[in-house]
Amino acid sequence: MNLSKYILIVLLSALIGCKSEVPPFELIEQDPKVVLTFNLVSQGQEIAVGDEFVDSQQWPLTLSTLKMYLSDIILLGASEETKLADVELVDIAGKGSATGFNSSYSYIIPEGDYDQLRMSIGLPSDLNATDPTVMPASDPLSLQGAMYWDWATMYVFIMMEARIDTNSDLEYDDNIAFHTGLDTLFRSERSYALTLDIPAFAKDTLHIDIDWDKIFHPADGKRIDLSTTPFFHANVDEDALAASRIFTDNFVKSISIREQ
Amino acid sequence: MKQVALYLSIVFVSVSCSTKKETDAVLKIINPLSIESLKMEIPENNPQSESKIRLGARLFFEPALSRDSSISCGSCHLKEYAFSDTVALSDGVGNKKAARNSPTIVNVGYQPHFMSEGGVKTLELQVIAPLENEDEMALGVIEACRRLNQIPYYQDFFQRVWGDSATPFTLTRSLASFERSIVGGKSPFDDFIDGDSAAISKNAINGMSLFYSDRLACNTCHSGPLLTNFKIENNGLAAEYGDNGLFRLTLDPEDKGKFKVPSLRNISKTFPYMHDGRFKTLDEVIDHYARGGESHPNQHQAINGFELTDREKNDLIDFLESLTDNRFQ
Ligand code: HEC
Ligand code: HEC
Repeated sequence: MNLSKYILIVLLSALIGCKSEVPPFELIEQDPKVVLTFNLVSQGQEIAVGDEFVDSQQWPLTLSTLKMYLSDIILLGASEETKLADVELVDIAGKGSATGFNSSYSYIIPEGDYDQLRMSIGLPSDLNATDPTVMPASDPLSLQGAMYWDWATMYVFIMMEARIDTNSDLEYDDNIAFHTGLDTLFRSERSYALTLDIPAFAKDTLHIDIDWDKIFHPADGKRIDLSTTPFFHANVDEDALAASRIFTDNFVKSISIREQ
Repeated sequence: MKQVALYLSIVFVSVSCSTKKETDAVLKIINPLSIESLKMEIPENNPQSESKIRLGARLFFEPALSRDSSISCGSCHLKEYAFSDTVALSDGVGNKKAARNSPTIVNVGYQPHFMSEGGVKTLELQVIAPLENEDEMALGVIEACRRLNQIPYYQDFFQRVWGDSATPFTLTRSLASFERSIVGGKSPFDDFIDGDSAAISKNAINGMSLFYSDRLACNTCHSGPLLTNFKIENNGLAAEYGDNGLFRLTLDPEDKGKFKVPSLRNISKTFPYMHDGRFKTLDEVIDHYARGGESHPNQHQAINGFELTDREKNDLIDFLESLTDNRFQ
């Protein structure tokens, strides 16, 4: 989650001469870096918070919020397996977001060839039971991320909010809100193919696209009609849960990775 | 039920042939109804202290903890009504109303879980809910801390108690500590079970045996010193519920209409009743149980109706009223 802290600890322990807890490898600043940058896209266009756009179903929309928890983020190569983070809160609002979290995170990794990114969408049940008030503000599980379901003491996994014009009056007068969570909507260890060949001293960016149209109108799989089902929290009733399940599964499948 | 009968006979015996001291000793052992038999779990990272409780009390009545500085925790949890509210749904900020009836928080520190569906695990975490809830204080914990840290009085107070500023940790711990200190176990009923056989009226004693009788079986759910088993049950309020209680948390259809069994201590002060405040009086509550509920598919089998004479009903109410700790005024 916070590799710079990790490095500091490695260095500190080296200084103190404490050799009992040597990690499997020691990463230092000169090692290559990979940057994961998350984007929402619709029909090939990047959508930022506040942007107006028309989706593949011709709905006029404007994006208000997209935040999500990812856990166990791992880069896999033929022989290497490098853990990038235990948990990350991605806020598409990016740098300067109200939460203080970002849409882009960088990690130091060993040089080599990688062909897969593996991550879980949401939080595993032990992390979902975290007490957010004991976490420092910089931690993705603190209250700072505004992803805590306080009445149920657990976290929202994906929060997507937008405004939609359903009656063509040129006003975005309806809300679309998907706040999905619950242990049953945790999607563990999803793998995404990539080709990343990273030499020493290099820095490379992986663009992780979340495709709006594949969430709501996938070519294969269940669709969500935004004109009739605009407002969902995961646990209002069975219908909402069913929609949240479709949303979550489509969301997982809507993700693809692009290099440069 | 048997315990009460046994207990009643011991009181009568003890009054005639044994000293008060001995009676007390016996009662302490056999009597599970005294609040002193309960043990409050205090989290390791939040031990009680006098100064922390005082800070928590101050925060509890602090309107700056709501978005428009109009309400405090104490606006919905009124001290003179055993820290509950007198209306079905309390006013939040703006023109909003809370979604449920404000419950009493007297003895809340003894509860194993919080809110009507029991989804909140600690009192510390419970503090987050009203602060974040858009219908209640609508400020958020982080903003609340920011505000408090701008007020010299609180800067000082937090430093003295915690050696730290107001943070999500110190704010929630202070309020929870105060809440754990709100304990009420001094009612006529407690005096009675402590051996003062004249503490409650004969009518109330009769009401008490009705309460614990097989016929009414109120203690299937309202048992123990707080008159709750803390379980989440469906007491048959409606054939179909608007607010489905525990179902919101588990999404299991068998959990529809299940709510936490509330404590009946101070019940004469915590009107209106049930999660939505649908009943204004104890009279209406008893009528509901006598009718045998509204036949919800998940209704607990102990809610199956009974007949009660007017006199018995009044006796039952007398008993329920004897559960009032008159220090909350
Ligand atoms: C606008 C009214 C309102 C305000 C303000 C308010 N509460 Fe409450 N409180 C409620 C309601 C309604 C419930 C019941 C919620 C539920 O069951 O879902 C509740 C429940 C509780 C509970 C749980 C009781 C139980 O038996 O589970 C505690 C503890 C509590 N409140 C403490 C506080 C504290 C501390 C504050 C201030 C930070 C506060 N409340 C502010 C209305 C309010
Ligand atoms: C099956 C379990 C069960 C039984 C038996 C039962 N109750 Fe309840 N009682 C509940 C539950 C659950 C609630 C809370 C319902 C809600 O919040 O909507 C409640 C609420 C109440 C309340 C309102 C408390 C408040 O603060 O709002 C009173 C008073 C009450 N019961 C009295 C009785 C009496 C008297 C009897 C016996 C005639 C009885 N109950 C039998 C489960 C039970």
